[in-house]
Amino acid sequence: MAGIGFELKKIFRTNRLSSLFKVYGYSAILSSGPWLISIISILFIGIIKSYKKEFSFSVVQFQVVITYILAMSLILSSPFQLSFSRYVADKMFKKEEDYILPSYKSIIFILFVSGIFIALLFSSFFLKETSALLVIIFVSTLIMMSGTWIANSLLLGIKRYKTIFVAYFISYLLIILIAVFIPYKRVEWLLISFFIGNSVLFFVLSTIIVKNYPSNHFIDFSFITKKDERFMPCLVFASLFYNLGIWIDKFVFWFSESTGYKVISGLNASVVYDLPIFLAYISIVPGMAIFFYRIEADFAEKYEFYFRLVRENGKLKEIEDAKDEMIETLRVMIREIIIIQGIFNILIYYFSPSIFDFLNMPKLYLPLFYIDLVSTQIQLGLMAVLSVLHYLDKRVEAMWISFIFFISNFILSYLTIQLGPEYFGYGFGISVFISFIVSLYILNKAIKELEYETFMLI
Amino acid sequence: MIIKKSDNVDILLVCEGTFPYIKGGVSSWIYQLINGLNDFKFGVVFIGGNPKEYGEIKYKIPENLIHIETHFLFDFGVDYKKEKIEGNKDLVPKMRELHYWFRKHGDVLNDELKKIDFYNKIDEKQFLYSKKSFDFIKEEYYKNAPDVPFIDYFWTVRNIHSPIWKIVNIAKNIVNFKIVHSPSTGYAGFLGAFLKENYKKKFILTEHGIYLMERKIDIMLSNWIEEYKLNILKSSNETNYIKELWIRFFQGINKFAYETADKIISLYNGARNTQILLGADINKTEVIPNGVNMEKFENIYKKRKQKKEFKNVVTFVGRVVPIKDIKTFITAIKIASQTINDIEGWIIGPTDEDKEYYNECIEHVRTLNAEKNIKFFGFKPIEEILSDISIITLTSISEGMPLVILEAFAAGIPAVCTNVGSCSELIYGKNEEDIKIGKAGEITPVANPTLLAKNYIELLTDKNIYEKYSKNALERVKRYYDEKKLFDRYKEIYKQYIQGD
Repeated sequence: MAGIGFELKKIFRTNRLSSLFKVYGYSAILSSGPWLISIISILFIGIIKSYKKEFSFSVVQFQVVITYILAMSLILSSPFQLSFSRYVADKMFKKEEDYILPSYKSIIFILFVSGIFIALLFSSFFLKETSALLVIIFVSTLIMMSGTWIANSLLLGIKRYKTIFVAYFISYLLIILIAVFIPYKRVEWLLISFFIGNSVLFFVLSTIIVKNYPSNHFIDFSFITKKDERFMPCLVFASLFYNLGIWIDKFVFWFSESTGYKVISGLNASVVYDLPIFLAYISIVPGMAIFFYRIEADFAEKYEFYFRLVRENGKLKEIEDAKDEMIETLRVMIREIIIIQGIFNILIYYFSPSIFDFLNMPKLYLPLFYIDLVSTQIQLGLMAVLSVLHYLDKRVEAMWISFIFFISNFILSYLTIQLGPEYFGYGFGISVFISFIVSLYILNKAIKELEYETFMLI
Repeated sequence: MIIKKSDNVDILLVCEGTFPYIKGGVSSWIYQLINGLNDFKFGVVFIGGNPKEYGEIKYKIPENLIHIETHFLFDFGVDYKKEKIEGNKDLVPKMRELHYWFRKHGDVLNDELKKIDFYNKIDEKQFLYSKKSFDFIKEEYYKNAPDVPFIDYFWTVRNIHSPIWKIVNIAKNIVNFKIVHSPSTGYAGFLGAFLKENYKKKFILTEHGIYLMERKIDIMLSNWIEEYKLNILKSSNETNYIKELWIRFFQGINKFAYETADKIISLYNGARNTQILLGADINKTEVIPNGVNMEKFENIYKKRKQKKEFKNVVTFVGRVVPIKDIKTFITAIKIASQTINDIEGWIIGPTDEDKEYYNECIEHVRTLNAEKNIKFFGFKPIEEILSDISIITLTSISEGMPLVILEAFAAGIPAVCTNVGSCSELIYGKNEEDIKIGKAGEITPVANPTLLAKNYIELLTDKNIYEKYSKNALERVKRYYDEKKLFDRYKEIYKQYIQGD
C-alpha cells in the first residue's frame, strides 16, 4: 500500500504535548520568606542584647555583618535559584530523579568555591582592619547561607513546607539562644552563633535532600555541559536581577557619603535608611502568607486543571472556563492581599510612633517608614505577579521586569540621595511601582493569549 | 532534501511513502518500471510523513534515475521560526476558502486554489503561528464541533492543512520535467495534479490499491482518533467529526487528482470499476496489470521441477502490518497443523513498520502454542525462498495486485488468497479466455482461518490438484503477466504524452 496515512497516528498527538505540562515549583522568589526570618532574628537579637549597654556596639556590628552576608549570599546564589528549580521540575517530569542530587552537589560545589573566592576578595578590600577570625567566620557563614538558599529552593519546589519550617525554627532558635546567652561581647562570638545555626540548617536541609533523592551518581554538571539541559539564561538572569534589585538601593545608601557611615572596617551602613526599610519588610509578612498560600494551593491547582483539560480531551469551552477560574483565583489573591495587608498597614501606621518608641528609634524616620510601608506592599504585588509569570513560563518577560526593577531602583535611589533627605525611600518606591505596572501589563497580555500560545506555539 | 539533482527529467515520479525508502509492492513496481524503461530519464519526488520513519535508501539507484528529492509533510515548523505573529488581513477569508473546500464533500477545487500564487498570499507560517489563524480555528470549532476535544480538533485541522503548503513548496521549486506520473492518489496525486495545473504538463495517475478506500479503512478503524462519546449516547447516523474531517479531506484531494489526471491507470478490472465509482472519467481509465520478469524465475521453476518433494511450507510474503491480517494466517496454520503435523507457516517481510502489531502477532503465536509451526524471517529477496516452499498465501483485508503472487506463479507455485483486490482474477482468471486456463489456487473469504487451513491441507495432501494448479499458474502468468507487456504499454503512453497528443 502506498501512502503515509498510517503514520498519521504517530504525529497526531505529538510528544510536543507532553512538554505542555510541567509543574514549575518556582520558589526562589518565595524564598524571600526565609530571608525575612533572618532579618527578624537579627533584629530580635539586637533588641534583646541592646538592653545591656556594653553589647550595643558589637550588636550593631553584628547586624551589619549579617546583613552583608545575607545580601551577598542571596545575590551569589540567585543565578541558580530559579534555573535549578526549573531543572529539578524537568527532571521530575522526565522521571529522572536520580540526577537531582548529583546536580545539587555540583551547584553547592560551584557556590562554595566561587563563594570562598569572592568572599575573600571582598574581605581583602572591606574587612582589612578586622580580626582574621572575623574574616573566617564571614567567609564560612556566607557559603553556608548561599548553600541554604539553594537547598531551600529545591525543597520549596517539591513543596516540603513543613520540613523547611521545622528546620528553620530549630536553627534560628539555636542562633537566638546562643547569641542571647553568650557572655562575651566581641562581635565574633555573636557571628559564631549565626554560623553554627546556619550550618546546622544547611546540613539538615541537605540531609533531607539526600534522603529524598537517592542517586548512584556522584556529581553531575550536565546543567552546564549538556546543550539541551543547560540552565536557561533568562532564568539565571531573572533571579540575579531580582536579587540585585532588592539590594541595590541599600548599597547605594550605604556607600553614599551623605547617608552611609562606617561600622566595621570597610562595611558601611545607613542609619537613616536601613531600619525603616527592614521594619517595612517585616510588615508584609501577613500579605506574603496569603500570597504564598493562594499561589501554591489555589492557583497551582487551577493551573494544573487548565493544562489537564488542554491535554486530555477538554472542550474549548471547558478550557476557557478553566482559564477564567485561573484568573479568578488571581483576582481573589490580589483582593485578599490588598484587604488584609491594607488593614494591617493601617494598624501599623497607627501604632508606628509607639513601635518606634519601643525600638528606641528616632521619630525622624517615620515619614521614610511610611513610604517604605507602601513600597514593600507593592513589592509584594510584584513578587506575586512574577511568580505567576513564571508559572506561565514567561521567563524572558520576567527577566526584563527584574532588570527594569534593578536598573530603576539603582538610578532612582541615587537620584533621591542627590535630592535630599525628604526624598529618601521614594527611589525604591517608584522603582517597584514602575516594575509592578509593567509586570501587570505583561501578565494581562500573557493571560489573554494563553490558549493561543498553548496551542499554536508549543 | 535533494539526493541527486538533474534539471532534465523526462518522467517525474511522485512517490508517497514508498520508493526508494520503503520496500514493498508499489516500491518494487516503481523500481521495475524505471529499470525496464531505460530509454527515459526518471526523476523521483519522495513524499514522506515524519523523517524519523525512514531510514536509508533501500534500492540501488538505476542509472536512468537522474534526480531524487525527498520531502516530509509532517515535519512542520522546521522551516520557520516559531514566534508570535498577528497574521495579515487576507488570511482569514483565504483560509476559510481552503478549509471549506477540504470540508465539502469532494467538491471541485476552484481555480484560484490550484495556483501556487494563492499560497504565497497566505503562507504556512501564518497558518501555523498567527493569532488570526488561531481565532479562525476557534471560530470553526465552535461552529462545527464544539463537543470534540479541542486538542484533537486543533491538531486535525493543523495536520490536514499543513501538508498543503509543503506540497506547494515542492511544486514551486520543482526541476524541469516533461510529464508527471504518480503511482497513487493521496498527497502524491495532489502534488501531481498541482504540478500539472501550474506547469501545464501531462499527468498520469496509476493506482495500485484504491488509496481512498485504504485511507477510509485506516481512519474508520483507527483508535488514534479517540471516541469522545460512548456509543450508546450516539444517534445512529452520528459519526466522529474528526474522522469525518479526515475522510472528506482525502475525498477532496482524490477527486482533484482524478479530475486533473490525463490518464487513470489501474492494475485490474475491479480497481478500475471502483475508480469509476469514485468519480474517475471512464474514458481516462485503463488497466495495465503488473508483470514479472519471466527469465528471472525460469531457473527456479526448472529447479523445482527436478526437486519434486517439498516441505510443507506455506509462505506469506508482505509487510507485517494489520491490513495484511497476519493473525488470521497464524491461526490458519495452527488449525492445519492438527492435520499436517509438520506444516510450517513462513512470514517473509519487514517487521519494523508497525512494531506494536508485530509484537501482537508474536503474542498470538505464543497463545496458540504454534511456535514450532510459525517462523518470522524479516525481509528476504523472493528468489531465495521460492525454491523451497509449497504454497504462497495472502490473508490481507485489502490488496491491489500483489506481485508476489505473479512471481510465485512464474515459479509454478499455487496460491491461496483472500478475496481482495485482484486475487480472484489472478487465481481464477479475469475473462473467459483466462478462466479456461483453470484455477491456480484457491480463494477464501477475508478472516476465515478455517477455510484457509482447509485449502492449505488440500493442496499439500493432494498431489494431482497441486500439479494441476502449478501448471495453470505458470501458464497464466506467461500469457498475461509478462513484464514486457507492462513496459511496452507504459513506453507507448510516455511517448505519446511527451510528444504531445
